[in-house]
Amino acid sequence: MSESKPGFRPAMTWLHSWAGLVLGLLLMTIWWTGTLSVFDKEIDRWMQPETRIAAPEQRISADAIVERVLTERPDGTLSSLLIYLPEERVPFYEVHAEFENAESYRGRLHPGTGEELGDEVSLAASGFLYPMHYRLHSGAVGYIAVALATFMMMVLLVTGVVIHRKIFTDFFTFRANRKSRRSTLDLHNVTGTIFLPFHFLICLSGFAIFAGWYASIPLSFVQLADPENRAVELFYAADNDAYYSREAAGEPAEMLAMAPMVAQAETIWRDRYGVEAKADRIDVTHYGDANAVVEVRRHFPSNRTEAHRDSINFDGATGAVLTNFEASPLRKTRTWLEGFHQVRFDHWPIRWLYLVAGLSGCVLIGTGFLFWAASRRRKEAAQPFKVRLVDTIAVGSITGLVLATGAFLVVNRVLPLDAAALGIERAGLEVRCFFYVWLLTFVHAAIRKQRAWMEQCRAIAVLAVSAVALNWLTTGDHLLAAIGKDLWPIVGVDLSLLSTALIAALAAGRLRSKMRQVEEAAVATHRRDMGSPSGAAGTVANRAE
Amino acid sequence: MGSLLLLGVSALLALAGCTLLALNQKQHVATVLGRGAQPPLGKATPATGWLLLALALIPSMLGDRPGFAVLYWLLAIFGSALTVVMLIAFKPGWLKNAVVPLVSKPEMKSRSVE
Repeated sequence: MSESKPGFRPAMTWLHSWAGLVLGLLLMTIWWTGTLSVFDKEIDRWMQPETRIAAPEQRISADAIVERVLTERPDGTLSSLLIYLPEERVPFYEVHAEFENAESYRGRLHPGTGEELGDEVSLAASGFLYPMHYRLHSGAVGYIAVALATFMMMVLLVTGVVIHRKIFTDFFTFRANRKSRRSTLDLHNVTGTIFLPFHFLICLSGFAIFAGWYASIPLSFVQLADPENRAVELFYAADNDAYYSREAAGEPAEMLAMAPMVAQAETIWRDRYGVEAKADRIDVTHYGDANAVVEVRRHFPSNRTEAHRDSINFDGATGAVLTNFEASPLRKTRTWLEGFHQVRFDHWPIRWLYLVAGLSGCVLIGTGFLFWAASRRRKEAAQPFKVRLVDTIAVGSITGLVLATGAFLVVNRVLPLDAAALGIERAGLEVRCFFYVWLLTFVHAAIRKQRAWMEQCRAIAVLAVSAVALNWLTTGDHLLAAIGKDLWPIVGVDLSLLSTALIAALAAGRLRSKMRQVEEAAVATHRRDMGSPSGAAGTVANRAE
Repeated sequence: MGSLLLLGVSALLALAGCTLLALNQKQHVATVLGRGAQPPLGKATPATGWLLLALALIPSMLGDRPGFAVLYWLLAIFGSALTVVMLIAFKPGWLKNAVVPLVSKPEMKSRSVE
């Protein structure tokens, strides 16, 4: 297909390698944190031991939860309320309440007793790793950077297919024992082609999730020029079609119980879809007002691949159904993509396969980076600064990122509950630890050059094992205890950490033996050349590939 | 989540399919079965491979809701392909043991087909 146009393939090669290099760090960050986010709720429970509770036999109702919150704050009058209902992966109530006196309450409550689980002292995966995946903790700039990177990832996937000549012949080919440049490229091709449909669809569905937000950027300019613009109004109306609101009446009224509304909503959905349907959140506006609205939602069904926008608004004072939203076919396509991307459904085999697919994406990006660096090292031996810069970025964005994540977990288990320093709370300290360790890995890579790979692999192995040991020491939940308590999320995280340690240790061992070979070869060359150290150094650089 | 047993059967079929597709390629046959060896099922190897991949959809459909079944099936095929790649690279002996029962006798069979 490409042979018809002379120079098409070289042009694609140029685009592929430069776009990959410029975006390598960013793509690796997005892909790695996204892969971890597949198990975000499990990592949350590992990092927030207070949430390691067993599901109770009898769940208390959302109304009992509200009562509980009101007894905690006897002086406050509720104005609005948001309740996340317990589910398999998050087995507790999460309540956000706003009071008339502008105070607010946020708490996680036991589903059986209604007792508070304690302060949230770690952002863990849902609060840190997951937002890092889609906005890099940089607000609008982060969203845009992720969008551009996602777009470029799709370009990379397409150009990769174009420049990979033997896509079918090499489909199963990984020559692990050849020269490292060859095996790196093989691994890049294999992970790229086997998971190509998955990677492409993940990028596309990532776009679908933020489609409304992206569209709002140009629309905000239109709005600036013409605040009354009807098209903009229509767009937002369509994008928020599931949204309902009304003004407060200003007259107090008795609130009806929410549990029957939840049950009614679940019956409506079960009849609509023909399968069991569970509500996942309740939103109450104008609590205690005659115009109170209770919205019962189902965004992430546990037994469907797709996300939903099912939402039923009830009159809080009379219990009448105000709106019963059903998504349009177009919206359903979008929510399918959303559900596919966010994997919030309960399906463990698929969740693990997502992890494999995600990790293969990390390997794809990482090996691409390595191959580029190795090729450059050959071509530009005369420009040591450039080579060193690329090497440093490669080390920092591959082993450095994993190392920083390990440090994030370890520091979570080391810091006391009430830790605070320099006016930063515990959760903030964990995040800073992540970023400082990550930064240090770049400095380390710049100083230690090729040795950095091996040393950082060793550090990863040490951190991963320490994390498991510290989890045992601080919570008592070692592997067997966790299995005994049915704490499978903890078992899963611990086993993943141990596997990471094993792989990192094996990699470090292999790198060490390779470096030794290179050193011995260099010494031999040095002896032969007698007194030409620059020649020997050049050989080391070449062989180190 | 559907029946783990049926999902397991589906994964095994996908793995078998990918193995046959890989062993239809000269260089992998050489690595796994030795130089000069033929694909385990002769000329029927690729067709059987594709057929097994397609058949893998049936148990997953029986064991799960259609949406999950299709997603699982595709991911199981990708995962199997990666597994076969890694087996060829690091443990070709395991693959050999798995396909040898097919090879020794069916070699004659495939000849008789020719």
